[in-house]
Amino acid sequence: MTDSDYISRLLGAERAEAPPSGATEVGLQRLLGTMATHAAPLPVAVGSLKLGLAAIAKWVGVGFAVGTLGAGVASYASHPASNSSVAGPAATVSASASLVSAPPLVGVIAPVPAASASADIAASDPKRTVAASPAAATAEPSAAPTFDEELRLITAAKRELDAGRGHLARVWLDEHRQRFPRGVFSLEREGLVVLANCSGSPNPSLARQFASQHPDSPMLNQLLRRCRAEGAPSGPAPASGDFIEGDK
Amino acid sequence: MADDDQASSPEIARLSVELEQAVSVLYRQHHAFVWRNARRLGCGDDWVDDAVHDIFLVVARRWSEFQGQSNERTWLFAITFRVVQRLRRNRASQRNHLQRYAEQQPPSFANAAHQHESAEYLRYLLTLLPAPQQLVLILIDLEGFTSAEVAATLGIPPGTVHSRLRAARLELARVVEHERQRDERSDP
Repeated sequence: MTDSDYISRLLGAERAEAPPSGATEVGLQRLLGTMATHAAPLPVAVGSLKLGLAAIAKWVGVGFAVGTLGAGVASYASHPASNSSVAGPAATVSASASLVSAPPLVGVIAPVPAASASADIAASDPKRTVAASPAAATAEPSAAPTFDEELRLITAAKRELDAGRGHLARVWLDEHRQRFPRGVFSLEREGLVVLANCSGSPNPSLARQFASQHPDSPMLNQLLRRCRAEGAPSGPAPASGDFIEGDK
Repeated sequence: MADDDQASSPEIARLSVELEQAVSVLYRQHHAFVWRNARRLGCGDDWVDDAVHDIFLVVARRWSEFQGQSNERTWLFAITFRVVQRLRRNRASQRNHLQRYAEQQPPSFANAAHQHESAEYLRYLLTLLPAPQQLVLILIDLEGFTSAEVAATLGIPPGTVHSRLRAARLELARVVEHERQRDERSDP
């Protein structure tokens, strides 16, 4: 076969490639779902008056939040012993520092820990309130991208796991652990790590360890099943079923 | 203002429904086209569905700008190209990260005996071509566009399309020959 014939055969094979059956409808439903939850462009066309009112509402909300934070600081100043924060000052300062110094594309910190870190700083040292505010301000707009990024990593790990590639799932989970050690999906990550470790050969002890640490996790049933661990968790059985299967 | 709200809500709902319908029709008609070309432009099997999703989100956002000035498919191809380029950049660091764990080798000349493997091998060869040649080869030799349509899509003269296509075919033949020799060297 000449090179020309060979290339013609390759081109013909590529022309015949098609998406898996059913992929179009599945993809369309996903797209319409996303469009329904992100109906962003349309409200902008409503007019400036509506935007103005929305801005007023936003600033009232900001004022309320600042007032609440201020009240908390004042309360701490008068009753320092009543502060119930458990995070040590060193940890909260380092979390805040990483927020400020991290580059915008890479430095995504989970919104919940970031907010609590700033609040802890403000509560534990009123002099730092001013320094911590810019960090909090930078954290607020990045909350949604952080969530999306976390979700993307977890979804990628889950996809690898579903495809039976536990070793690749662990790569995504490691990245999630490094970037979002206390992210909103940290519990799901720990569960997926156990599943990934059980994907090669079932390891009941890992599942039992997870069950003892997280008896209320919705992943528990699937995890115990996949790792072939006997016995149910001591806590109440989750009502919502499996996280993994529910996500399909 | 309340009157404005009441007047605008049905209008917004109507526009939303119209957009949804238009995007649904486009999606059903062109999903396979976008899926195929996203892969040819470098999407892996593991993320092509996410790429197609992002592409049609851009389509939905830009739909009001389209207005039928050009061929729907060339418009979709242009969006596909830009979105895939952006996603590939975003994934570059992750790819480096994953390469440490990658077990599979790039497709080889010798393995391209069956149709699916042949197609996969061709997509690999396409990634070895310079981008301008790659685009022309995909649009003309794989999708069957005319040189005039490609010229309009890429914003270049038709003569340039012809010269790029010729260069692309020569380069593809050269790459095939090179890959064949590499396989023969590595397989004593």
